[in-house]
Formats: sequence, structure tokens, C-alpha cells
Amino acid sequence: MSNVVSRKVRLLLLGASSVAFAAWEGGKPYTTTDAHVSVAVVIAVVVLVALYSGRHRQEMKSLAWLKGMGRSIRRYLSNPDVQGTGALVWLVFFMAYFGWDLNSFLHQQRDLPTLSYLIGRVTRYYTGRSVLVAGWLLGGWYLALGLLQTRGARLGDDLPADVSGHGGDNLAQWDSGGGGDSGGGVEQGGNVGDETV
Amino acid sequence: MILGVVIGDVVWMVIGGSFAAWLVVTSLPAAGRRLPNGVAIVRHFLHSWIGRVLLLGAWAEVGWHLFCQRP
Repeated sequence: MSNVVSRKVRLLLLGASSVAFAAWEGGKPYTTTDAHVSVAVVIAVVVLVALYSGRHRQEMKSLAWLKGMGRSIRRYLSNPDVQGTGALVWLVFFMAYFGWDLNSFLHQQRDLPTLSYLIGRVTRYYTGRSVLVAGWLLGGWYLALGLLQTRGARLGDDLPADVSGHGGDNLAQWDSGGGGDSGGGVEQGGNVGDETV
Repeated sequence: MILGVVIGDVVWMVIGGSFAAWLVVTSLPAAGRRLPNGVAIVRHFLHSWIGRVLLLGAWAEVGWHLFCQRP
């Protein structure tokens, strides 16, 4: 119970401080030293928190994760399925974004704006910059603290799969389905339902 | 060029619109577990250090670029 309360308090503090920072940062033009220093400090803090919080709390070792990706790709190439095709569509979107952005950047023409130039039309205003900074910061906290296993006993062990985490992670199911051995890289079992954030 | 919209803007609108449509489609209950949605993609990367570091690196680069290098 106290864990739940303290987790909510931590979330609240994290959210409130992030919003406060975004409100302050929104008033700083991108050319100023204040903007540069504050963004650099935020990046450093989030990365350090990720390194500290994630120690011994990742579900899989990196090599096992990479091998699992390789197995999934080989399995898809030999036996294409809907889930694999869905993942492929995400990859196509990423390549479309990256390719077109690179093309626009290399040409440097008014007719070919980069995505960041278009976003700059929003971030030049206080509200736009504040909202985007808030979203960026909250996303960073999720990347730093999301999906970490709880230290010691894992509280989600006794919950159904849908509640404890894996049930909603359909890509993980795609990744683990069929091969039968993709769980080999799991350090302490399969539960990843206990998220810090 | 029509009403200040250039060819590059149109391409971005097509990419963005398609992306938004795909986000919606994969989030529909009917898609269920058959199509991985955006959250599932991110969660997949967060299962290991290498995936988490990749995403954090991209996050840091995006933040620095958008908030320190562009208007």
C-alpha cells in the first residue's frame, strides 16, 4: 500500500516538475544560453536516472534481445504473418520520415522544408514550445523509467497476463511466438508489468 | 505553390496523415493483438538496455535539435 502511495507521489512530483520546467523553458528562445544549458542538463539528468534506475532491472540482456530480433526476422521471412507485416509498416514509416527529411536537408530549398523547420513554426511561440517541451520531457521519463522490473519480489507475478504487462504487449508476443526459445534471455523470469512510471 | 503550400509541405502532410491513420488503425480494438501499435513498438525496445539506449539517444537528439538548433 505504501509502495502504491509513494509511487503515485513520485509520479505526481515528476509530472509537476516537468510541467513547471516546460512552462519556464517555453519562454527561452532557442538561441539563448539558458535554453542550451537547461536542455543539456535535462538530457543528462534523464540519462543518469535511466542508468541508475535500470541497473539489474532490464527484462532481457541486450544480446538475447538482438538474437530475438534476428529470429523474428528470419521467421517472418520464411513464414510471413500479419503481425510481422504490421511491424514492417512501422519500419516503412520510419524510413519514409528519415529519407524525406534527409532529402529535404540535403537540397536546402524553400520548396523542401525539413520536419524540424515545420515544427519550428510552432516552437517559436511560447505555448507551442512549452507544450512540445512538456511532451518531450514526459516521453523521456517514460523511456528512462518505463518497463523496469521492481527490485526484489515482482508484484505482478500473481496477476493475469493482461494485467501484469505481457498481455498488452503484442509485439513481444510476436517476438516470442513460434520460436519457443525466445525467453532464454530473460534474466529473472517473464514479468515486466511493474513499471516505475 | 498554392496558398503558401509547397511541394515539401504536401509530402509531409501525406506522410503525417498516413502515419496518423496507421496509429488509429493499430489502436482499434478490432486490430487487437494482430497488429503492433505504437506503444507496443516502444515497449519492445524498452525490454533491453540496447533498445532503451537507442531510444534515449534518439530522444536526446530530437530535443537538442528542436529546442536548441531550430526556431
